[in-house]
Amino acid sequence: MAIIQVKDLTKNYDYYSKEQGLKNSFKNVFNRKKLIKEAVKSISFDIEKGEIVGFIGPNGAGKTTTLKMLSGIIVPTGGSAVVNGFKPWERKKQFKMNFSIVMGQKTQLNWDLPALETFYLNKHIYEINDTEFKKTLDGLTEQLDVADFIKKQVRRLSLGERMRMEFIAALLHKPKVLLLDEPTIGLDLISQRTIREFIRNYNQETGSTILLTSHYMGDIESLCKRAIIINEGVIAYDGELSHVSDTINKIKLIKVQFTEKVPKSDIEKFGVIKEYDGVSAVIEADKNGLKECSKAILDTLPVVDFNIEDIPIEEAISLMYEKGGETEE
Amino acid sequence: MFTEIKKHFKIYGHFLKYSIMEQLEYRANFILGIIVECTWLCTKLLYVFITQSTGALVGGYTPDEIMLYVGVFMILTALYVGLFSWNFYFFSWGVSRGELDMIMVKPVSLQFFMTTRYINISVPIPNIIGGTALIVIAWGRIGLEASIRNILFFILFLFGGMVVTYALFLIPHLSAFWTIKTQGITEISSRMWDFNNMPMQIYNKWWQRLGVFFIPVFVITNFPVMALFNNMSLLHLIWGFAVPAVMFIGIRLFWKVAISKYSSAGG
Repeated sequence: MAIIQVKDLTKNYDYYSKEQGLKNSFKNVFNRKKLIKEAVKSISFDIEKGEIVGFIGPNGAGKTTTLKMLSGIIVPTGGSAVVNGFKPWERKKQFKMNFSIVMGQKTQLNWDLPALETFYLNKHIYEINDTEFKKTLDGLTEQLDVADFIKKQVRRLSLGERMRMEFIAALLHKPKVLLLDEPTIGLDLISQRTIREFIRNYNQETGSTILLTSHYMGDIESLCKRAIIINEGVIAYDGELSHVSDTINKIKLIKVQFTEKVPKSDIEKFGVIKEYDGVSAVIEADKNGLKECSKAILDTLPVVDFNIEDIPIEEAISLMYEKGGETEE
Repeated sequence: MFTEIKKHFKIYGHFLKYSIMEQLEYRANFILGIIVECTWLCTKLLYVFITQSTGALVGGYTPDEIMLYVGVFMILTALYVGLFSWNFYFFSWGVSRGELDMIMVKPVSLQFFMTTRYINISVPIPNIIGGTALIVIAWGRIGLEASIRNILFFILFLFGGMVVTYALFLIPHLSAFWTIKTQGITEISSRMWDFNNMPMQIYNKWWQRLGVFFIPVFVITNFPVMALFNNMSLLHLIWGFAVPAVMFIGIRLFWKVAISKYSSAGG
């Protein structure tokens, strides 16, 4: 039986709209137009024990809202979810003892103290005995290579170091289900790789189930075989990641900056121009001819800066639809 | 049940340790906090000096009885500010920024965690020292007997006052779950605390009834002192024991309703 079962899960938020300006602020005091945002619209999926699933989608698609419902932080408007045998929003102790969430933009560490102090607090919160605590902490410290700064104040740590500490704090009690919300956001490439390798090893060693959201396709591609794409609150795709990767990787974006103004006509021959302001441009190029195209740009144009990036997930989703309703669900 | 209580006591021990460590990290702020509180303490002591120098009765209390009353007020202020108020003022900020997320997922009482985790050390120090000194001096001057009955009743009502303080002053902050910003309502509650700095007998009967039975703010400081002076009616005595339990159950139920309104922030 699936360890995470989601059926018609829905979340609506109330909000108020306000026109610009002071006059409208006064109007708003007496009369507010209540609006409802459907953040998640009747989504359903199952995740088997031990799976790592990538949960991807553009900003505001409903990824974090879904993760918050699955962790019991917020209560859904409708539908059901069972995580490890529990309804998350009932917030039962046994549920909390066996799951963990890491949010790239939130911390559970005490800012003014070394992370080690938070680990000790979690030891008591999760009722971990001394031997087990020491063994797990030593193992995680070694795997994440944090021995040098475990006693350093959290506010003095770099983002990469802090995220590694967040992982230790989240994993001390050996959760069976791990929800990761943008765990590599803002990290440099080396830190991203460290975290990815750690997640992969952790999953292999413990058999824990991981649901991962990330804006970096690199994270998803290196960790997940399956991807769930959510867009505007609905599941747009649920299936093999390779299918999504093929679409996303088929087209690349070349971002170039020039030392002097370059006419648009000189750039058009390299691909579709997505953005252009004279001294910089974003060119959409086919992956197959990427090497030749890059070489030609560097050889013929006065380039000062050059970058190759994935297309945004929003565009990849549109492309997948353009290819003809290839949703497996 | 016992294991859970023991676990929460252990965690509270860690909260205390971390609070001290955190505040000592910023030693200038810590020392400044003590200095500022000492100046506030002087203004509170003014009541005692004025009544002592004029010999005036306040609400039927003699200057020495007022000294004891102010001492109790100081200690309860120290406990309120030291144990609860920092946590309560974090609510609005925490709710608006979704800061409860990472606490909600922990297998520990959320109410306990949210309302007790920060313990202010610098503010209570002068109040505890000053308050205890006033109580000891006044106790001797009034000639109160240090009997088990007196000490027990005094401690029980002091504890009851603390429970009522916790519940009564948490209520306005919980409105953050509906309104997000709570400055207006929390300002009223801060001012309400000042009703405690003089005996309730200075107010008329209706205000006294309102402050004892409806919004039991007078129970906090008045009842420990009244218990010592043996001038509590039977109704007050029963209410004095019942109201902390009523308020605690009430705040627990209100908490459960409030937390169900939590909508986090940012996605």
